[in-house]
Amino acid sequence: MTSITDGELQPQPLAAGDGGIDATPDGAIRRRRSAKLIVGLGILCIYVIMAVLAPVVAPYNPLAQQIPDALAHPSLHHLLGTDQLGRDVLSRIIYGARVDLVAATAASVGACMVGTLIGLLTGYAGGWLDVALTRVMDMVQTIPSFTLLLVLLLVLGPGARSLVIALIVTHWVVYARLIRGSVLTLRSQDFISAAWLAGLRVPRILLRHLLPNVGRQAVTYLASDIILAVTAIASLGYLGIGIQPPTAEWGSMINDGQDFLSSNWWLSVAPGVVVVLLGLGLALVSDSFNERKDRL
Amino acid sequence: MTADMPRHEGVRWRPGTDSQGADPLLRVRNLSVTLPTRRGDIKAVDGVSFDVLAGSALGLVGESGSGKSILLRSILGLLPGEARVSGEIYLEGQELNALAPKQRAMSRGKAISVIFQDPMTALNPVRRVGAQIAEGPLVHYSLRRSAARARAVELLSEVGIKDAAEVARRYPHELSGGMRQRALIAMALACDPKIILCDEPTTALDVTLQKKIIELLKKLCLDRGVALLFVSHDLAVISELCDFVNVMYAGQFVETGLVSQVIANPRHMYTWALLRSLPPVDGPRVAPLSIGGLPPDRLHPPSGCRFHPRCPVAQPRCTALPYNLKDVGQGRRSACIFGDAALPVPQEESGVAR
Repeated sequence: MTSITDGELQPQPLAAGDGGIDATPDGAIRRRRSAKLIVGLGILCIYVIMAVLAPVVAPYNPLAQQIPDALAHPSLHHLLGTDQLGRDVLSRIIYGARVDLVAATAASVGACMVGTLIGLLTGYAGGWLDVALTRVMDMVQTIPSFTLLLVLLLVLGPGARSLVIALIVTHWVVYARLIRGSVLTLRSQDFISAAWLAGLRVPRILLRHLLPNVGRQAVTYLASDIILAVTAIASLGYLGIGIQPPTAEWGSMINDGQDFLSSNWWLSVAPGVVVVLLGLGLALVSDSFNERKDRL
Repeated sequence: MTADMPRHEGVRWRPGTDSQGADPLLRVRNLSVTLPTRRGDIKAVDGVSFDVLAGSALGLVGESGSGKSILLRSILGLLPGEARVSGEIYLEGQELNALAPKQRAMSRGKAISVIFQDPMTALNPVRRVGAQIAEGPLVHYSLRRSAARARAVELLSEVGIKDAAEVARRYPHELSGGMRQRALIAMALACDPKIILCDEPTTALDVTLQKKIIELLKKLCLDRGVALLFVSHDLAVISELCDFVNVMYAGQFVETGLVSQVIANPRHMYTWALLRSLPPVDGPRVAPLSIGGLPPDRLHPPSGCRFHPRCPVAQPRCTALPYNLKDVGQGRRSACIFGDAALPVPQEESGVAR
């Protein structure tokens, strides 16, 4: 039995002479990946700083109305102008990070936790529990997710909390399927049999033995899932059924600015760009996670 | 039982019969395992009975597909859900299948533990070796984490790993094959089991390592009075490690007895053929002979003695006589019609092809 060590998985150091042919593209890929990761993390950092330090960074109170100053063009006083109620757009965007980022993270992490637990349980236990929960997953997935979101929000009422709950309900299924599939292949492995034979209880086997093996997949998917959550929250805000005014939220800001597109286009474009940039940052990070996963 | 006493002395071991006196540690009675397949049912294990006495080592030898691994897994309760098991398994006098799941879980790991064949898949790849070894004591003895860790390190050094404290912090892929197998032995010993079931634990290792691991296993079990049920296709490994051997063919025991006697003087033609297929280490150079014919069709096993289609001295009645594992003296049993005395030497080697 030869041992599978790191050395076998990674390119062997090349002997002098047989060229860096293999080494160069690999090095290039690695550089490109780390560039992706750095840019992505940089973008995310800006957003996190915006959210955390909003009261310090924002020049104005995001809710303070100054009707005389309404629809001001960008100037040194208001870098991105003011909206129809005279509120500073830049400050609203900065405070919006608190709402959108926190809600998106809470929803995705919640869905990740719920889905992972259910996936572990169904994959390991099998039997009627597996059949029943798999049918539930089928049902959730058959309904178009946006329709389901809308219905849930109508039932739960508007607000950040119901938004997070509704997103968890629509998003957990993918995690559950992902984890269930991996657990199905792992459960017949000797080390899981050995854990069972050692007399360990099921929760311990699930959390200590299976979770470390499959958790990485869930986290990798989580990185890309947050993008979906951010766009969903912004879209629902735009439609007016997500987080309610006067709370500063990017989606509803885009909607508010729509009426003034011909004169004050930045009212809609600025929060739109902010959403797109956040999506880009998250995509870069999750991309480099994915590539790293492929290598391991 | 003390370490300096040969284990089989003073032990009344009567395979397949009710042993008198103390209850054997593990008693298996009339165990059958049926595996349904698309083409029909396969009786992987067909009515076997045996005892393992405390502190003794029993080997199960047979070719691939003879049902030895299924037998071992059925004792552990590790069979796929569709398998049907009948018969009784007693551990320390308690019927395992009659126990409540909770009690059975406690007997697992504490009274009985296992060493699997492949040391790569038997260790969780993403957990540190020490934590995996410490887990049994942590759960069964309600030790504190630090105490369980210390126990893991102690066990690792007992199985001959240097720098045990450092190795305990490593992941399985950072260990060599031999170290992994040692770690598995440490894991099996962690809760002071009374019996360890081994499923060909040395097959994945090279021969020199095999010898070291066997010696380690032998020493540890002797020191601690742990019984072994050792499954292997390798008679040589079993002869080194075990006191008794049960030879398995097509789901049945064909011969049982003391290892030394079985090897010196087989009483079943299958055992004889198996021994002939090993190259002799000393003496005149003879090419090893393989057993002619094909392994038996498990869906439609041959009638009578299941070995008769491949047996060099098969008689007409061998195709009809029912299976009967009879006493042939010296505590040995054989299912062969010639089992009562020394086996006839085949006239011609035609049945035993090169």
